[in-house]
Amino acid sequence: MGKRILIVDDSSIMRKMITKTLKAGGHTIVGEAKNGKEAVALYKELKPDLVTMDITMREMDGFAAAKEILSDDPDAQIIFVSNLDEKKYGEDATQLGAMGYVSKNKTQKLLDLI
Amino acid sequence: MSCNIKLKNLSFQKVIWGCFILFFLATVMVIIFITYELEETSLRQQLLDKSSGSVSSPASNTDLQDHVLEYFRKLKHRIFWALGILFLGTAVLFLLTVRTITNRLEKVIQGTRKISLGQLAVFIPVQPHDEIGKIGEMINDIAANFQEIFLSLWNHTESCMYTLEQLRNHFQMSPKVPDKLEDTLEHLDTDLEGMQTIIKSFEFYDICLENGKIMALEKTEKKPSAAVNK
Repeated sequence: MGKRILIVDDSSIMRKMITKTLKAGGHTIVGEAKNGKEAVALYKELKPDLVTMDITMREMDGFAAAKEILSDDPDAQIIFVSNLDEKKYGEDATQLGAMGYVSKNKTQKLLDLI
Repeated sequence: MSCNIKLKNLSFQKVIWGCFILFFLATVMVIIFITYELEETSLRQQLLDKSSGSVSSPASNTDLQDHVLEYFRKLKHRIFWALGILFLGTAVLFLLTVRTITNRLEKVIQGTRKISLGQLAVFIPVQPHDEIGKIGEMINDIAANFQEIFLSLWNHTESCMYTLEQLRNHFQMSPKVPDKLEDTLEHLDTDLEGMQTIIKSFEFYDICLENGKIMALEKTEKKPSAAVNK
């Protein structure tokens, strides 16, 4: 069954690419945010089943936004999607309580993870 | 044709200053015209002639004439001052608006120039979110997209280099490797390195390239001057 997903990324091209990948997997995109602040506000408003979160963003980065979302809703499902080194930041993401970490080069892996 | 080219090359600031000078000249001409009209003796005489018919005694007539003349004098001053204040007020508002717009445009120009030089860490202010703010937001978006594309390319080149290394190791173990294949691998390696050199020449937002890996800058390392503040 398709999930309701919130996409968080500061790059419009990446948002478009992730949207395309997820829609092809039968999921629904309920919202898009450009930075952590917008993501926290949209999460509260939309209550999505899942969030795909970039890490480096202006205003508020992905880790800070995820912390805030998880402190509000410990059951929140967050997958980090980033270009940063997977080994290092994948561990950080898991420690934070995220569902997983996917490299932007391999967004198809998102579907497997969901 | 040449006039057309000149107009196209005019900067926004020069056009605004031209408009301001035109506005100033128009106001001065209006003031001169009204002053001239009020000084016109025939107009005053007509008014006096009409009003003198309704007054019986000559003393009252002189009083009335003085009164009308005084009235005209005051009217002239009031119109002159009202127009002067109106002009000054409008001019101050106009100049403040123009200054605000040109300052914000200057920031957009500075930011765009830096981005064109490869400094993708630049952030153009987007508040207030009017037309100029929206332009800034779109330029920031373009910079963010460039960063994503370059970082993605970097990851792909790293992945290719890793595969290339594995191929080399594999070929080293095999007894006979054609020279042509070795040359091709060498070419591929040079191309990938060239691509990475180009990517390295850009300045990215919040990340650094370390030993082939993309790492986030620590909070203390982040550059506060990334925004166009000047």
